[in-house]
Amino acid sequence: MTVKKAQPVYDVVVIGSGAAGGMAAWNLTRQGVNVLVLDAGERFDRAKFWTHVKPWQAAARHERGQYAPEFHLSIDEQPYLTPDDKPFELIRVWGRGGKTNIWGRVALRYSDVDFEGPARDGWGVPWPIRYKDISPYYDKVDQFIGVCGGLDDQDSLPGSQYMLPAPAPRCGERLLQKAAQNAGVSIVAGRRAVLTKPHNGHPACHYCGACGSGCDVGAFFNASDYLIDPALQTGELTVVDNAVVARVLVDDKGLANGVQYFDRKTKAERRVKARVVVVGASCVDSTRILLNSKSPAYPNGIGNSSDAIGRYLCEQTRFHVYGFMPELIGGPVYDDSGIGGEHIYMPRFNHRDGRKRDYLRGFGMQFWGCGAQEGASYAKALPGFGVDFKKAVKQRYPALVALHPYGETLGRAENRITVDANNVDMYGVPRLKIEYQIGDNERRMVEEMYDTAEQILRSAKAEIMPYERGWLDKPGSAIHEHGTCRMGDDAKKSPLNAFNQMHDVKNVFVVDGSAFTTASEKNPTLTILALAWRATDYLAGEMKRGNV
Amino acid sequence: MSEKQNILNRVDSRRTALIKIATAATSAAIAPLLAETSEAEHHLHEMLEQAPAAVETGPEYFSQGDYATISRLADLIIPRTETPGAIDAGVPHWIDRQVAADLKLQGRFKEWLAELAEEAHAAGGTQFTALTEPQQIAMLQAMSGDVSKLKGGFFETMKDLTVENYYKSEAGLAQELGFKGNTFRASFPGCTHPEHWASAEHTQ
Repeated sequence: MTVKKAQPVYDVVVIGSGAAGGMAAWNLTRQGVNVLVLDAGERFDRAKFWTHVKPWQAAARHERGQYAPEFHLSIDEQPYLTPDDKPFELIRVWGRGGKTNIWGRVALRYSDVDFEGPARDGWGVPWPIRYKDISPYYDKVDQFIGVCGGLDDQDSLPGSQYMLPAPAPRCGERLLQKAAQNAGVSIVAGRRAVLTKPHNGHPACHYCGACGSGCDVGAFFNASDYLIDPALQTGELTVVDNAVVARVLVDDKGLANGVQYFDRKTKAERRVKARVVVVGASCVDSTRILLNSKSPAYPNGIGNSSDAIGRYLCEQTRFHVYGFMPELIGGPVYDDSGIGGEHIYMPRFNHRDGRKRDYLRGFGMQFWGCGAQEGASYAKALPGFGVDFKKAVKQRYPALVALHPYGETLGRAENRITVDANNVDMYGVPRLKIEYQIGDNERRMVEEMYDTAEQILRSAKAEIMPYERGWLDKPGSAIHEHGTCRMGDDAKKSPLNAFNQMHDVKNVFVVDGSAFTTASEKNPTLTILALAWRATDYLAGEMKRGNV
Repeated sequence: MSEKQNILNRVDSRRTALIKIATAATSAAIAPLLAETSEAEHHLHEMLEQAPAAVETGPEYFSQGDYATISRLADLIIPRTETPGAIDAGVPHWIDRQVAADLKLQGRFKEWLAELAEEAHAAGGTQFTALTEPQQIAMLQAMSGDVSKLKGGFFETMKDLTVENYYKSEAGLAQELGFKGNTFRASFPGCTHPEHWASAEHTQ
């Protein structure tokens, strides 16, 4: 006699295993909550990373038909739609830890300059939280994942007493700091989630600088090693790999009661049951799932009575300007790998000292790529050829500096993600459509972003590489999507409350970048971690109190 | 034959291949390794793995004549000096492979090479490679100076491909530029120059 095993009902099903889903799973399981994580891919094997493969070795390996592990989801597998005149570069990592496997590791706290933005200038809806609400969680995240940085906080860049030692700036970065200061612009130590000493059982960075290939020792935060693994050790976590979630399912009372997904290998449809659903599949994929979760109770997507889900998509504007520092041209070459990426950061300053500006919100600046790099693509922009050209390239090799301003974009209802019922993916699930473009406010801010970059380079007396003023990187390229399921106190305007809980559906929480009320100019991961921790603390409490 | 001799023999036969592709500096770097045969074998194996296979296999896409032209152009863009040049770094090989994998590039190269051959004819040569070096340089200067043809044109494409491939090769990146990164370090010293620190605070 065979007895069909009853399908388990999990306390919580978490969609996604990156910063958002990983944090939710970790924080709930350690509090004794039984969790199922659905991840759209598999674990990335650190032993197979090409961390220590030099460019010429990579070329030779490619010739032998060998390739590095592919982190990025192929567009061929999951195409998305964009209007012809509005390109959007969507970068997704499906697999344990998601994008944290290869993220930029810039770990900046939002400040009240950010949280008070919409309340102050009236654009969009106010954030339902302030810095005081999230700062205890930033402190916990800093301590848990390990963030290196300086004790040089600013009103727009709060810090903590838990920073690991900041790596010393490279020569070019140091000279940029000095030049900026002379121009009245302050550049501080970067805040990066890289371990400059061993931390919580994870080894220290060995300064190879190859983080973009995945860290072979896990010396920077990734959600797989830092969150999912310890969560598995509690015995409360189950992970299903290759689970491409399509919809959140609801009961006849309008509460969520499970999730429908498709097995990426067999394409088979599966359903799991849970008392609570936490959505953390990254901004764009979470939005797709919510909009596809249609039912009689929620004809335009679960929890979407506000019609705000999918709207107000924010990315960030950014561009890149390069120069050569005169003090370093023709000088010695050092190993500038450091912790990979910049050791410095320019916090937002445009709100200070009664500065007049003809746009809302602000910008910061990053500086990855200063000093000797693993290549010399700048050589393409140097004139001529032959012996003199070769010499010019070599002389500039140690002197390169790179400036990357990032500007906030305003949330606009027409910048939106929709799903197209007439255009389905391989599982028969409606595909994503992204319509996004920046507006006049962004273009005006970009003027000052260019002014600032030029000001710093001129103050440095740098040889500035030719650039086209006003050029912007492709929308989506910052990989900082936010705002399509925003938090806010007014249920008519925001799908989520101050604890990332749906106003309409109390047992659904959305904890990734889609929950951000505004995008700010900052990299979102640290704030995603803090918000997800805070939201799941609240959720665990509500479950204990019997409210969810 | 002892194990050691056996390895040395193998080293010797591989060296023939290596010499064609390696610069004097690389060959010199092999010498100390011979003292430790097993290590030598290991390192040599690694070096051979990393070395471009251009010399043995020849062009995959270009005809021998066109390959000679591409090689000459790459050589003129990044010549051998006291450090290796584009040819030493196997740049023509990599360009050949890139063009072989790109139908669009194939069409453009076909046009460009025909145009270049015509111009070489006009300059009195049977082909570009038959011109004198000053003639070749003059032609390249004209190409690089013609702003109307520069963007996406033959010169810019050849220069981009040469630069890309040369500065990612061991010869270009490690030997010429002095890249020392992607290694294990216990600490990172950063900027240690007092003159770079003078007169402004580290941070404020």
